[in-house]
Amino acid sequence: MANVGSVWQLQEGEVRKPGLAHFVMMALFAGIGVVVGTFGSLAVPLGYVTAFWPGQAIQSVGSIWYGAWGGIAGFIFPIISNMISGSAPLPVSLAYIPGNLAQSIIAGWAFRQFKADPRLKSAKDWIIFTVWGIIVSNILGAGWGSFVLKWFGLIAPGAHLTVFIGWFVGNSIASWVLGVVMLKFISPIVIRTKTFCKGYWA
Amino acid sequence: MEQTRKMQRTIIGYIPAESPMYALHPVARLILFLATGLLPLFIEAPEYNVLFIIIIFFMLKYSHVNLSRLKIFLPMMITVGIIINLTYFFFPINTEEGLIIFSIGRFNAHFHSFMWAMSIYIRIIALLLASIFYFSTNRERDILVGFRTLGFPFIVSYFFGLILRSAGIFLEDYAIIREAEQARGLDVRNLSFGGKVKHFSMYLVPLFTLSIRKCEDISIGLFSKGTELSGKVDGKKRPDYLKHKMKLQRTDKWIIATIIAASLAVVYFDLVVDSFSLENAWLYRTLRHTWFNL
Repeated sequence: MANVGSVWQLQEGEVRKPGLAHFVMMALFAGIGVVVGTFGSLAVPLGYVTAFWPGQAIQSVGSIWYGAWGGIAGFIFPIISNMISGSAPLPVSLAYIPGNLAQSIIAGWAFRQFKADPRLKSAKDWIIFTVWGIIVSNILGAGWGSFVLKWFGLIAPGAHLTVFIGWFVGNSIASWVLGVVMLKFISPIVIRTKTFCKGYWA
Repeated sequence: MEQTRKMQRTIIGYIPAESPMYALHPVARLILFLATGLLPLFIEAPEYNVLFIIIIFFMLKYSHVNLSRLKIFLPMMITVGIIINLTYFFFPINTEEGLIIFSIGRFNAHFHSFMWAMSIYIRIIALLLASIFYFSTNRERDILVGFRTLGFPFIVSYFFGLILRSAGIFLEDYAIIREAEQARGLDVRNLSFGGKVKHFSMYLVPLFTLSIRKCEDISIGLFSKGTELSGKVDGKKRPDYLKHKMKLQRTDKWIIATIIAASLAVVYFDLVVDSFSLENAWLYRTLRHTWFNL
């Protein structure tokens, strides 16, 4: 008998296939990311080493809810939001892609792998979100991001570690706060929709 | 009375109602953006990138863009400058020269480090202005026509179109939510940093709820229209009204060829002749001579 307690478990007779609705949701989700990323950057304008970039919460939560669709949206929307907000030029935004991709898929993978509930119901769910969705994601994101900044000469090589720590701590706090709000308040609605992905694509 | 320039609201910002730039085909504008968005990376000499910035400002003015709208980017540009200069002040490079401009405590402002920070800052401003120029003179449909003319698959251009449209929709939703809060007397300017973060997170709940509803509506709409996300419909090439309406003219082709030739020339002079390096820059040499008599 299917485990009705797990949101990732398909119910008896339930069929989920990737479709047009997933494609539309991916685009809408990226659109929200553009808005949130742009206003996050403009509200607290620290440029490319922004210590407050709420977009990372959108990335983590996106892959938890929408699997690979959320992952794709999560690395595309920063390119557009960076251009609109003026927080990073196009070449820098393109170079950020691997870091943004990592930030966009890790939480989704961890929640499915360890069967955590997106509604954050148990201590296990909180720990998985905090460890994988925030700490691991931001270590990789901040690590890659600060490397890109050094690569483009936007920070002095000696400042690499300082920028990495500032980026990691600042982004982690902001994305944890926003991510928790989104998961606690919006997950109950999202998991009832047909675009919610129990697997990676549907 | 001074004539105020009419601007049109687009989904991603404001563009002039009329502009000489609109005479250019969108693909020519897109290639201009790609060139101006990349070329400053090949230039270290500050004077050339300053010239580039002046040209972009001239183009903004020529294109009838309301320059007062650029104020929104000013805080970003100032903080970026501060961050770049601070990192190169506290973590200087090429200190072995021993050329110190000034000292604060045990920290020294080294000449090369200072000049490099200035070069990088001016380069970044040039790149950012190139982006701002493109988004200030192009509608969403121009971007899509540019993509399609360059041969991007239909699904890619459609996806970008949908992102831009949904960003526009949510910007409006966001504005409505903010206005509703202001009408109830909330002044976010008085909130602390923590308060702003907490407050910002609360915007997400209504935004997502709206997005879920809109996703349903759009999906049903597309499904009922029988939309296929491929470049072919019933085995035939998908007709494209906008692309058909906006045809590349001879002038566009000449402009594209000129942009590509100029870009290749810049790359050649940087990589082969080393014309744009910081050490060869007129400003670098002049300041070095003025401050250190070298």
